[in-house]
Amino acid sequence: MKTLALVNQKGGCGKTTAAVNLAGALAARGQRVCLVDLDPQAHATMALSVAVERGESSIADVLLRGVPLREAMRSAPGGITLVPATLELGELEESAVRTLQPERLLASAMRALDADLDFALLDCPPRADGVLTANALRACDVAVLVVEISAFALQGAIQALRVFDELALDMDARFEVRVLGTLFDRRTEMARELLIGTQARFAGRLFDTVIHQSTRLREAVASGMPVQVLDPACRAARDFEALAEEVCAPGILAPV
Amino acid sequence: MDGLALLCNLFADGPVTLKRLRAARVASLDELERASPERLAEWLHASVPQARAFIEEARKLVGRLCAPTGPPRQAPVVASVPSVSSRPVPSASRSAGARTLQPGLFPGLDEGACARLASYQVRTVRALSEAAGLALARRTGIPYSTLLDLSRHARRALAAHGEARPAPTAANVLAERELVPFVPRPRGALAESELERSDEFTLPVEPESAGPFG
Repeated sequence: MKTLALVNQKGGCGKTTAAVNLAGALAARGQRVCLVDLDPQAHATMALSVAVERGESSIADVLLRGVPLREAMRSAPGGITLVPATLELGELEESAVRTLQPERLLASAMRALDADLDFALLDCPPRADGVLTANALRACDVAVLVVEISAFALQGAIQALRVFDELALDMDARFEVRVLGTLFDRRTEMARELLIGTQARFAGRLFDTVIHQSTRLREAVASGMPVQVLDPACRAARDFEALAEEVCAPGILAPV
Repeated sequence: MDGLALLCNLFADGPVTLKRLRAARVASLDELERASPERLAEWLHASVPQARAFIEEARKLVGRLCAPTGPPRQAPVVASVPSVSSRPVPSASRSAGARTLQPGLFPGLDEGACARLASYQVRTVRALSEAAGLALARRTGIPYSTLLDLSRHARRALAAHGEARPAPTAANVLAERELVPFVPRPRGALAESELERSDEFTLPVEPESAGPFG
């Protein structure tokens, strides 16, 4: 099983959209994919139109009460397996101070799933230094830094990389960092220049595929399904299909 | 992301075009530069003019990716001003702004840059101080950072003669090392023609689900 954590401390850069639709694209290729929503705002859960009813388990139960991850898994549109989140997940930040090695909770829970899945995608909250992101980085093989192709986002990404370096050092974690450009609008000259700058900055770590701005992606989120289900022929679906192909290619997740 | 993937994302449909190029055994920007427009049009399911424009963009991108990042920072911050007798100033004006651009006038301003700037009507120090922008960098093939440096030298030469327009604003946030005074574009023929030509060599944008690139 390959585990990818989609991270960035900045909100609104397309982490959840990328996580949901990459999961959809991988599932469409016949891969067994589990998307774990690690954001207390539960946007990935909502984007797949899953609601956690009373008595049903979520990732909060897994991390706070030790419920097996398998019990929290749900079927979602597009052939994705989802581990939903609830607002209760926010309590982990508080309870972490009373827990030994709180950043290892998710990695321990996921160990049992290794043989049952091809990919696990972790949708992280918009912060780089919290215990939830630390759990994701501890559990992942690859941290995918989701970077909106805009000037301030690029600065934020460079800061995030420094935080990841420190976290990796502190936790003695081993993960590769790859960068995914999102919200790209190639019709504007500024966006094109920023992509050139992003390529110059991240070079081989930057995925060949850049996710373009797309109305279809917004519609897919509003409809509670991945874009591959809503409109498999649209450009956004093709972007994620290409990204999935890159992720599945042998050696693509090896050190750059 | 290599240069070829970058080009496909900048001026075409990204993954689809990249896949078609790789299927045609085009593995780098250099190889793309050498391809004939007719063959490329066939590979990309595009028109020959589009293929020609794509090759032209590849050529420019090669230049930008290989170009040095700019003149050395220890270069004198104020451009040397040639003596009045040695410079070819038009007789109509003796101001610093009206001075014609010449190789060596500013660090990094060589003969090729002068010629490329002149072909876009940037012939004087004043024009250079006002014209630096992404559009001009892309059209002339001069790296953006070099163009910014040249423009800064031009503004400093103007400032030395009391002809600069002081207007620093938040538009300078992209300047990494020092703030460059923001010079608003004059309302004139140059600005208008730049707006009209800003996407001159960009391949047409397709609608979401169709188009010549898939």
